[in-house]
Amino acid sequence: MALFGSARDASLVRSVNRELVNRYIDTEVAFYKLDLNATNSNIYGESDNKVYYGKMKMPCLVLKESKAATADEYGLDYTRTGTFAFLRDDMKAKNIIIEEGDVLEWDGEFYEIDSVSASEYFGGRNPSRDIGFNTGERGEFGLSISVKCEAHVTRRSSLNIQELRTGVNKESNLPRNL
Amino acid sequence: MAVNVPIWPGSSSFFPGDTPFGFYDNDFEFQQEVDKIADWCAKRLGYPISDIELQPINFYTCFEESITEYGAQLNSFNIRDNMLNLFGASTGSNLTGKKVSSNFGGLIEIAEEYGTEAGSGGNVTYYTGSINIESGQQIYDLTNTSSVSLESGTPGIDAIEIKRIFHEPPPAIARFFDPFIGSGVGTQQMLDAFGFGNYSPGVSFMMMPIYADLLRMQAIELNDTVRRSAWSFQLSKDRLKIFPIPDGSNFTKVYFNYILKSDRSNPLKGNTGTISDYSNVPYENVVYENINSVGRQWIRRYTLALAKEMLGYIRGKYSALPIPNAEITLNGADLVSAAQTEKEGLITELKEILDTMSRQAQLERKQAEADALQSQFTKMPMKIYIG
Repeated sequence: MALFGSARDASLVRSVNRELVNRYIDTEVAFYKLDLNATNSNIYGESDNKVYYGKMKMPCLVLKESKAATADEYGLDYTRTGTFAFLRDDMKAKNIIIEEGDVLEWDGEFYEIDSVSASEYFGGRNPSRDIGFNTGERGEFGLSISVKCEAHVTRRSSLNIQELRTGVNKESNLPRNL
Repeated sequence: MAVNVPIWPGSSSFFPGDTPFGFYDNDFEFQQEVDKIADWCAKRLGYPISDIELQPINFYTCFEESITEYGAQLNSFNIRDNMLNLFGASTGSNLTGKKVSSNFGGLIEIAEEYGTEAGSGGNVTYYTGSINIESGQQIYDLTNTSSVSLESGTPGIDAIEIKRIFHEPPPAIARFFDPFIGSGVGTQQMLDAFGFGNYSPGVSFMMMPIYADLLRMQAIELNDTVRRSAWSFQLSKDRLKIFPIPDGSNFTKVYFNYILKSDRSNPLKGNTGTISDYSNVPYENVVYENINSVGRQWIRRYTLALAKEMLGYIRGKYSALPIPNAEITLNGADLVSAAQTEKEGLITELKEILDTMSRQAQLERKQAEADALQSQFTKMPMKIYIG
């Protein structure tokens, strides 16, 4: 029988998290869910014409890594990775499931999600998977805090999220030296 | 389904029964103020900028405790200040909010034991006992049940202490003739000499000073002491020795006063159901609507300190709370520390204020005022009289 980390304590943690993430920090990213039904793929399951649902604003904590420059036979380029951590309970309440391949837009860049994990627990357990709780042997203990996404910056030209090179680019998309 | 425990929603609506003890739930003024207090405390703690992880009932609890604490301090002070006036009074009447009059009851109570030993009142009964005196027997055993009679207790079984033995010679005044009779003191001859001898009673014309009687009595007593066997006794443990040796004609009993030692050492001399100590002085919770604005402000501040402390304990239950991809430490320790300092300060402040209002402090203040006034008067210019 666990003594600490009860549902009441978990509620406090949830409340503090919501206050901190949604009200104090309030960093919002745009979430683009991959529309598998509308995306055509080849026999290997690859697609160069992905289709995404419209964006949703979601608060999260962002850890943006430094830009790393690369140079190869195609010229100069750069890579960047980032970590996006969402409140799992808020995702659950809005029925949002983040998966690999979904795209996040933040700070003018688009990040394609490489991995998704939800293994940060309060009290060391996730009540959804807690055997004792789910078999009714004890009350609810613990809390699954976050959904953490590791992502990398991807080219927006391959996303079909923004119109590019049409000649009618929006002003904000114009290169600075033009 | 996750449990969501509600926190302070921004407003509250009190209903009797929402406090743990319900001491003041039906007090109209309390009902009027309790939600305002909760609102004020929440705002003082940072709402609505930050969430307050407390519920309305938490604030109600703090408010109730604050009033009770205020009342307890007040009652404690009243008990301290009036204890001597309250000893022995009935525990049945509620003293809360009532003026306690000074009296000597407690003081006399303390002095009664001295009265007992001095034979002037006291709280131990003086009983009467007697010893049968036998002719020629000078020494008597006070534990002998056949010769000793006790009003209370049994000789030899109950420990007694003799307080007085009535074994004294007849008073000297009874040993000479009444001077108003005029006989025995040689006054008749004097009256004859003055020509009053034929009157009956001739002594009606004679006025003697009182000291003449006193001198005569002293002379008789001194004579008895020096020339005759004195009427005396010697008391040693259970043994009584009588002087002079009784001959069976002058007296057959000797009476005495005594106390039962068990009576004297009995600590429960007062009536039951009376005030005996700090714990049963009948002070009850204060009536909130009777508390003035000064007291209410103290209560508000104490309520806030309690709420702060409670919030601190809630926020400090876990040293670090997980947030997405990190951990944070809340300000629980700061809140608890600040709240405890505030609480101590408020209690100290209240005690100091109360202490300045004790009878002793008030009298000292009046004395200081009088002294200061007198000092001022001495500096007034004296009027110069020009005749």
